[in-house]
Amino acid sequence: MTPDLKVRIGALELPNPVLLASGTCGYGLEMMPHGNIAGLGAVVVKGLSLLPSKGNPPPRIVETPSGMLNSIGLENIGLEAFLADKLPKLRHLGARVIVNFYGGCRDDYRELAARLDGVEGIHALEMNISCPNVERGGVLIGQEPEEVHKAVAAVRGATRLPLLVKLTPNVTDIRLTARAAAEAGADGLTLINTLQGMAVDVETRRPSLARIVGGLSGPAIRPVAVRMVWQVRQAIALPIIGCGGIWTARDALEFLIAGATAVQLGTVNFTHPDRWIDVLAGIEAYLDRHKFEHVTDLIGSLES
Amino acid sequence: MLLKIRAARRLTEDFQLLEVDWPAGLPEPLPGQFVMVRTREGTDPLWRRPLGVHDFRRVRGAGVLSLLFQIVGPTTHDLAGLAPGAPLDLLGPHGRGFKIDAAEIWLVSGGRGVAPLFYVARLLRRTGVPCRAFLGGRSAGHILRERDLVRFGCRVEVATDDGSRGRRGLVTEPLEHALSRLSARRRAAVMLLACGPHGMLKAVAGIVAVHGVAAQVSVDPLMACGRGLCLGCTVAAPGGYRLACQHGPVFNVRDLDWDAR
Repeated sequence: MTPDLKVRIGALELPNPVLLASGTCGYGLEMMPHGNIAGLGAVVVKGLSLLPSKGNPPPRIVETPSGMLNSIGLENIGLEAFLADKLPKLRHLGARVIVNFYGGCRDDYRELAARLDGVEGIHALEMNISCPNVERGGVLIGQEPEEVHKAVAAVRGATRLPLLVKLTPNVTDIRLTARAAAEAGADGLTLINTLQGMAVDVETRRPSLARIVGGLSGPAIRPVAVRMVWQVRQAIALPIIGCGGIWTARDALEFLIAGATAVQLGTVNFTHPDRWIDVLAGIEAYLDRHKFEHVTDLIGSLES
Repeated sequence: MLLKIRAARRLTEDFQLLEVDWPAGLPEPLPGQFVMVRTREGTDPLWRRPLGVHDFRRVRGAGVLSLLFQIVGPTTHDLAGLAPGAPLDLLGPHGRGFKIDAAEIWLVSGGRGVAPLFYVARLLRRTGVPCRAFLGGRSAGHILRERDLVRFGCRVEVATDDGSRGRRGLVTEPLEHALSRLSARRRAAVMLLACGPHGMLKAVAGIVAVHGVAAQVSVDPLMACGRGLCLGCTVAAPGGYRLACQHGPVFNVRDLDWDAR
């Protein structure tokens, strides 16, 4: 019997729990040569801002042990260009689209959410709160539970779409920001965003990145991500989308067992653009082998 | 996808040439395009490595891709150990290559920068467009394909840092000398194609500005995906950034900002 892979995050129903993470798959269309993205649970597109953003100066990336640092600076084509040029093609493909977005202030978030609300072809929103609040001297919204609550509440009031909040791991206790997002009306939590890191070119004694500090992603951060998924799962009754260094089906299963309802593949897309197909097949084979009829029976099934 | 190594040859101590069978279903690579390769399972190194298309030819109708690389890190060490028959995990071809539409082409390379220019020389021989090549490198062991370029009909000049081959000094010196001897009419007909370290490309940008010569450069920033997904391989351009993997790696020299760091 073929296992049932359907999962639900609030009102968002997905045919399977494998998603592509924002910032690692362009606007989804770029992945088409490597497999039909309509077969994914969903594709989470590059984080949008109201206006196009040109991003940070180079160098923006550096390779690290089983990982990479990036400081792309949220470069994107902006809301209008996405709606006009990308979304119609995504709709035509039949892909489930989750729009990741970010703002410099609460009004930006509210306006973005309002303008994305009810747009045909958008299945859910994912709020990136790992960015500086320009109104408060650049403090990261995602690092303060109170700020998280205010930002999520503002967006919640502006959209009826299922709302995911992507949490930063760069906090003392992620359960506090997770709880703030939940109480402000999030339907699900994506964790984790990148961990802050830094690398130095010892020959030039310069930082490897122009912006000095960047976000670490890839398999190096996976144990941190799995731990945070498990912790939040214990504390908060909201669906979690696990993300962080998934390279194989086995990695994805770790997240599901630890309590994630779905997973996002990110950095792996750079090296293996068709890996999501193998991960999906691997999850299905595992469920079959372990006699799970529904993937939901596996979620949070950690024995301890 | 997995391709098959057809031949492997050490050119000098630090440089290896690989020939790969090119599947019939794939688009034929264009000069200046690149491929992304990996050699290991696991996640170290994490990224594929970009390698410029060094040559492409047909042998009894079947495509053969050549890759020329310097042995510098784990991936290139692995590649240098591949024998004929071994599989190679490769994606591509990617990027935008050289536009070869001038009456005369001059190739300018520093070290491994000759890699993508060689394929241009092969195509020029076919079309009969006059070609000159200026090859620079650290020492004689870093001057590559000189004889083959001559065989293709290129007039070749060589400069090395230590004088162990050709003249001692920078490759931009014979280039500038040659440009200064051109009539205004010849200068308008010449297109420079350059590939090499950033410092060399920046010098070329300055020289062509002075002499009023058109030029295209192939750049080589760190690259994670090669396909416009990571937005990591940016190069500075007037008013913003360009992606080496999608808008390049070949750019018109005037479309980049050479004063940015």
